[in-house]
Amino acid sequence: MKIRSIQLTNFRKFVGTFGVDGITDGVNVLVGQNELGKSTILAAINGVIFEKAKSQTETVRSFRHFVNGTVPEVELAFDLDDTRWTIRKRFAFQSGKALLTSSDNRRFEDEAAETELQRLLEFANRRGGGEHGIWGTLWVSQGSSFGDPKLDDAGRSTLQSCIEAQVGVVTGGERGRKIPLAVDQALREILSARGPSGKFKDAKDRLEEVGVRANQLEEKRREIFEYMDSLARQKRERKELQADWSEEDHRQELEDTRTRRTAAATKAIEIDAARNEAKIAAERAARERQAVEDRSGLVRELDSIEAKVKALTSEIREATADTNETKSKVEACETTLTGLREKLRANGEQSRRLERLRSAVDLQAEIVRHEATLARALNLQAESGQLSQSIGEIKATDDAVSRIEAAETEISGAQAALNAVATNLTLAIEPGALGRVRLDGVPLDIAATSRAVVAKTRIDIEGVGEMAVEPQIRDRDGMLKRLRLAELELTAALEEACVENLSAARQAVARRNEFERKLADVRREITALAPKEPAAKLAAGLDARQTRVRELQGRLKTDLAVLGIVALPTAAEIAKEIRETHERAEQLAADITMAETAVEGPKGMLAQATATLHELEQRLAGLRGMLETKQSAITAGRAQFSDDQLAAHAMELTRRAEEAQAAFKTIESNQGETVAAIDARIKRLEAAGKNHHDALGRLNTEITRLTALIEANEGAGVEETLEVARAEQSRLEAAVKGYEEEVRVLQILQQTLHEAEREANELYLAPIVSRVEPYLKMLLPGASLMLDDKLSISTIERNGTKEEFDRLSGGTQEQLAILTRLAFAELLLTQGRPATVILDDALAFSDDLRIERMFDILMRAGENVQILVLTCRKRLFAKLGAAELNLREIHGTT
Amino acid sequence: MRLIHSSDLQIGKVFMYFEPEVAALLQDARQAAVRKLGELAIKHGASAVLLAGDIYDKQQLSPQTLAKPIEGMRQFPRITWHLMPGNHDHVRENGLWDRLLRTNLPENVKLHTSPGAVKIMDDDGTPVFLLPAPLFHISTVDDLTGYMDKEATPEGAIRIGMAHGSIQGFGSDGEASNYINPARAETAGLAYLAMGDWHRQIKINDRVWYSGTPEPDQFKRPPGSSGTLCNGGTALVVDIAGVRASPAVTPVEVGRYRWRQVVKTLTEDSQIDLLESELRALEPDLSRVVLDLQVSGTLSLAGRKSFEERIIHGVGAAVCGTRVQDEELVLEPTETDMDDIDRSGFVRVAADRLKTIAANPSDPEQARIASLALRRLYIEHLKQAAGS
Repeated sequence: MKIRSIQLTNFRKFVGTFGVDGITDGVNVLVGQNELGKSTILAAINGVIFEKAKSQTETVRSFRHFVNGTVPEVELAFDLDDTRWTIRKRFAFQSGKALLTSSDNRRFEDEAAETELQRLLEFANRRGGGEHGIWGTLWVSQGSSFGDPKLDDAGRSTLQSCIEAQVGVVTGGERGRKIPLAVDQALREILSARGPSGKFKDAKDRLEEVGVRANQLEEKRREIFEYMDSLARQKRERKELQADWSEEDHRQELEDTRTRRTAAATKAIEIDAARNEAKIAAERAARERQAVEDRSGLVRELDSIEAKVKALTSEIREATADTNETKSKVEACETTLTGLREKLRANGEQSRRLERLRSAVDLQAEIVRHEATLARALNLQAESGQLSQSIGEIKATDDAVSRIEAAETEISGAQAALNAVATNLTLAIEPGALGRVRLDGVPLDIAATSRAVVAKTRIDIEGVGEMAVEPQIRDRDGMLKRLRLAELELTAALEEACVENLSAARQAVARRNEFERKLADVRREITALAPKEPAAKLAAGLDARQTRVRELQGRLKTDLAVLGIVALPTAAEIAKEIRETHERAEQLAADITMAETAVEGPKGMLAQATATLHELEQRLAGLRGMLETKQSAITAGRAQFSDDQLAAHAMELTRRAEEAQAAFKTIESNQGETVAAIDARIKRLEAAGKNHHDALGRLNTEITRLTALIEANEGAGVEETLEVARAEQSRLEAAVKGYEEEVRVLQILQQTLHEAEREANELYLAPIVSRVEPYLKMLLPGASLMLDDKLSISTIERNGTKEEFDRLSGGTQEQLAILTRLAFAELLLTQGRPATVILDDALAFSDDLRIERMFDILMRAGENVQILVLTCRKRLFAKLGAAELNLREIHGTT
Repeated sequence: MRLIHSSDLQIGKVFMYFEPEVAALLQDARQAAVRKLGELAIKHGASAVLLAGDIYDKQQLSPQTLAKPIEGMRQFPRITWHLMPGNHDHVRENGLWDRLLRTNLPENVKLHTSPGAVKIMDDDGTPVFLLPAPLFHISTVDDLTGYMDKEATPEGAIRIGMAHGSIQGFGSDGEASNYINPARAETAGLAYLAMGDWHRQIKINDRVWYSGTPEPDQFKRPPGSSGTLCNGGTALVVDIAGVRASPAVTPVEVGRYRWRQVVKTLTEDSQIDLLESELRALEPDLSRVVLDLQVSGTLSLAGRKSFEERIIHGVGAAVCGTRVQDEELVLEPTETDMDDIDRSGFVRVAADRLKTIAANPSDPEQARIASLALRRLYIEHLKQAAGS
């Protein structure tokens, strides 16, 4: 369909009849300011096609005028299949009228008109009107051109039928689309991103549980069989143990052995007694022999000690004499040493007195030095005073000289200026007439003279008369005033400097400068007289010297009092005495060292002699004590037994001991089996018996334990339960295997379906994409566009980068959406169904470059597709180059 | 004298490859075998039942499982039950036989847990001695019946042997161990040697018989059998007329369930009808059937769907339990199958690709998964079709 004209009567804001006609096949633009009613025209086009004349819907109610509510009418003329159709609707609710007429004189009224219109334009019926379908996509109202050109089901169906007419049926239809969804769903039910889920996961979890339980039961089963095997072994062992053992034989053997042990023990006691007796007798005999030996040894020792005492006594006597002699030598040496030390001490005292005297002399010398400085300073200060006075008497200064020089220069300048303008008066007077000629009353004294005259000058020539010369000089008075002022300045400057002229002033200044230099020298000298003396901790200046003098005088006075003298000797005298004292001290020190060395030898000898004596005396005391003890022992022993008695007794005891030893040997040789051997046998027999009973006890305990363990597990029916668990495990394994297989089956099915679907979609969308692409190249060179199966733009790709449509700028989204609409319209055209694209206030956000490109695209598309652009931007859309439409009033208020 | 000879009740057996509810039914049938044997003894006037080993399936059983057959035997006080350990329930120290001995065993239950002749009855004045050869291990290299040759019994006594193991020279049937000399009845002067271990009934010679298990428990058919019936489900009625008279042995069916093994190759969808008919004709009462169905060959997607509906779900619901082995049953989608999924569109493209992968022999596992995926796609298609 191609729209040719539209008329609105009393529609919304329009009162009366308004219309647009002359709509061409290509691009048409209707420009109008805001509020003109462009959007109302689009609403009217939609209304006259899709809303029934008798409809009472809110949409239709909205057609009435905002204020007066008059009945709205719309008439639309359009071409379809080479026929001009006119549909006219009067929206008067129940009284609504519809009239459809054609250029070939077909005429339909009311419901017939509605039905025929629906058939012609292929839109679906709905309550109160028709579904907009593809027209809803192509006719874009204000503010709706942004974003993806969403298709409703009817619109999509229309396009799909166009596409399928070109590429055939490539999708699986509605049912085909559901199959991948069903497969996805089936796979989701048993597999998630994290792995098995749903029944698959349940089966796996359960299999794991059952596996653990089965393994536990298996272990239990093995354990019980081990108990049984172990029990069989223990019973067999017990049987063997009992077969190899006779309790009676064991008891009898043990009893016999114990009897033998009693006899052996009795014999052993007898042997021990004999051994003991022999041992005691031997010990007693040995002790007695030792007593005899001890006594004879003691006698021998006494003789030896007495001889030693005697020798030692003689040694002590000699040592005592030696010691006394050495002591005398030491005392003589020490007396000499003491005398030397006393002399050294007295010499030291003399030395210290001399040092003090030298210090006092130094004090006095320093006082004299400072006093000389102070006296010199007084002289210099007097000279300084005189120089200052002389300087004060001279008034002339450098400034005064400058002032005088400036005044003289000014005078010279003023005079020169006057001379420059003066009249030169030259007089050549006869010598005889000299006395008669007066110049300004002053007689001339030279015959020829020349004078510069600036003022009126009188020349009196006696006898001749008076002549006056008065040069005519401009500003003569000013010049004369300058000269006068300069002369006054000179006079004042000379008076101030108390001089008569410039030369005198210069001389006075030279004198003054000389005095000042001398004064500076004197002052420097005064300063140099008293510099800072850090070593003496003396500050700079004369005051510090005076203070130091007073302090030193105090200290000198004290020193003289201490030394007990009134006058000080000379420094040379003191130095001589000090030198002598030092020499004496050195001599005395050498003497003392020599005396100390001399006394060391006798002292060492004395210490050694004393020690030797002491040791000898100690040894003597010891020997005497020993002698007394041994003498007492011999005396006491002999008082009891004489030496002979003691020897006879020892012999007797020795004989008895030999007899006892012979008796012991005799009895020992008849001992037989030892108690220890019999004890070992008893111990072995007892241990064997115990081992047997212990082993039997252990076996019985173990048999009881194993029996109890086996019986305790009887109730569980472990093997039976295990079989059940294994059966369940086997079933679950089969189930899990089944699910794993199902996952693989569904995955391959899903993958194959999705691949096939994707390829089909690409094929399916090709007709639209191929129509969009030329426009896209004009708008965004190098870009490509992807549609989804719902014919919505999903992404565009630029420079190899994919961009989601929703993330593009609003302007770009709108431009792409318009391209897609143009492609839809072209697709319809291929099926012999030309369609109008209406854009209401579109491209508002396009930049200059893009809008130019969009204009190119619209004009190119306009070669095939009818485009109606409604805009308020006259100047901008003037560049579009489209046919311009006008909204004009056809009738006034009716 | 008349005896009932049975063995291998294997009470407590767990059936791994069946669902728990089916396994419970099969276990219950094994428990009920004692009653069946007791009733058989009453019916045939036998005074004793010989159970030649493997009365129990395991050693460590619950008290209930252990007690149930004993309580069943208590119900038949006039019948004496002679129980001997086999390889599954061999004698162990403080094992299940000791447990049974510690329980309140009925007078009519006799445990033979050690070798040696035991007088079990008088047959019109002739003493009858039982010579059991119980097992002490799962397997042994000794012929445990060897002692019978020299085991003394009173002159003129009837000697009946009872053993559990394999007979030399008859090939193995299951585990080939615990060999027994087939001439033992002759060498030991036995009137009859009651054998256990093999689950199928078999006559070794006039005096030596395997009774087989009274209730089948395996999908194993007799060697050379062309039928579908599996081993087990019978007992023997044994008449012994005298010390050396040949015994008269009569097999009697006692099993509750009949285990059937059907092996089929399907090459066309139409064969599913035939298979269904064949299966439904296996027994008048299909609920007695425990079915092992092994199918191979090829089916279309539609055929596979039909197979599942009619065989797995249809016949599967009619029988007691089913084990289906269809790994060898290959899918071969037809053009109709593919058109059913879709004639065009991407779903059809995906189906064609899966079909190509499924037909690629270089990666059999991937081909199998692709085949299953195609089957899944077919089912999803049907679901969506049903939904729309």
